[in-house]
Amino acid sequence: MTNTSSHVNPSDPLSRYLMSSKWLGFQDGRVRVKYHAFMPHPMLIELSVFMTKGLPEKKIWKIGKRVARRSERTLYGRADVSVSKVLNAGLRIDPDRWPSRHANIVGWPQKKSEQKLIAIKLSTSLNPKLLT
Amino acid sequence: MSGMSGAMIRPDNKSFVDSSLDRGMSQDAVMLRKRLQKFFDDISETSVTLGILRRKAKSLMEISKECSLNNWDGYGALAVNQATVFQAHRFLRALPTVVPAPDIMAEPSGEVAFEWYLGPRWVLAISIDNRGELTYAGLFGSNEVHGTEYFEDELPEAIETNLYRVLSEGR
Repeated sequence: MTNTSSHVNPSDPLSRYLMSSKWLGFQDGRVRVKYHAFMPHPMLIELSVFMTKGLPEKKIWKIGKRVARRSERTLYGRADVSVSKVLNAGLRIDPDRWPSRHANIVGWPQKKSEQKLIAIKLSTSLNPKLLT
Repeated sequence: MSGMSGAMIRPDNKSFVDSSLDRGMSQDAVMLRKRLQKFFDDISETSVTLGILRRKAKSLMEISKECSLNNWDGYGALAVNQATVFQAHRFLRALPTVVPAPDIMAEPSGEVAFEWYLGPRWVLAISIDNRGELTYAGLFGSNEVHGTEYFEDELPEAIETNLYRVLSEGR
């Protein structure tokens, strides 16, 4: 299997758009993103993200709004996770660039409990940004 | 150690350490039971009420409505069906009343998940599907666990043990 992660740099951010308000929680006065937002698609076993390195905030939100509009959902915010965190979790990045800047996080284990553990690790310590 | 599970679920919050039940249990099991009892004694004053659990049951019903159609998350999630809601409700009712009410949310697989989040490295997440299969994962400091159990009439031992870990050590 080709290691497609070589197309991106470890410090690059990957934006996961949050289209469920329940993916956001509050702890000690701070907003946090719940692990559910990082669980892979149940059939495809991949996680949809956008490679937003170098983009101004306005453009990053514009992509998110387009994603939400296409799926007829409301955009509440986004969580940016670094490529290095994804790679450290044993996953890979598959930048299909369809639509532009889109990528899938792949290489998930088959066991659901392991997927859950990885999703917890990815989401922990992230500071989600809310759409204002 | 299934006997421990049933003894632990006491709606009246009274001691579940009944020495007569210890007969036939391994030394480790007896020790774990005593640790659990101490934990429950410690937190009994701050335990949740049945009212909170009722509110969680209401939140469960809200989730069943919000996530009743496929693609509720915009990424192709599966709908939460009524059989899963039923199992989730059973699980919620089986939790010891001294256990803080969890955050309840659906997962993209259509399972209902319960989360106890005490901090970035103190998390336990348990989800249940329409057949009562429990999938759990947790971070306890530098330790981590994950696994699968079946929920029948009582909480599986692994679930009780991990609830204890996240709630006692993470406090």
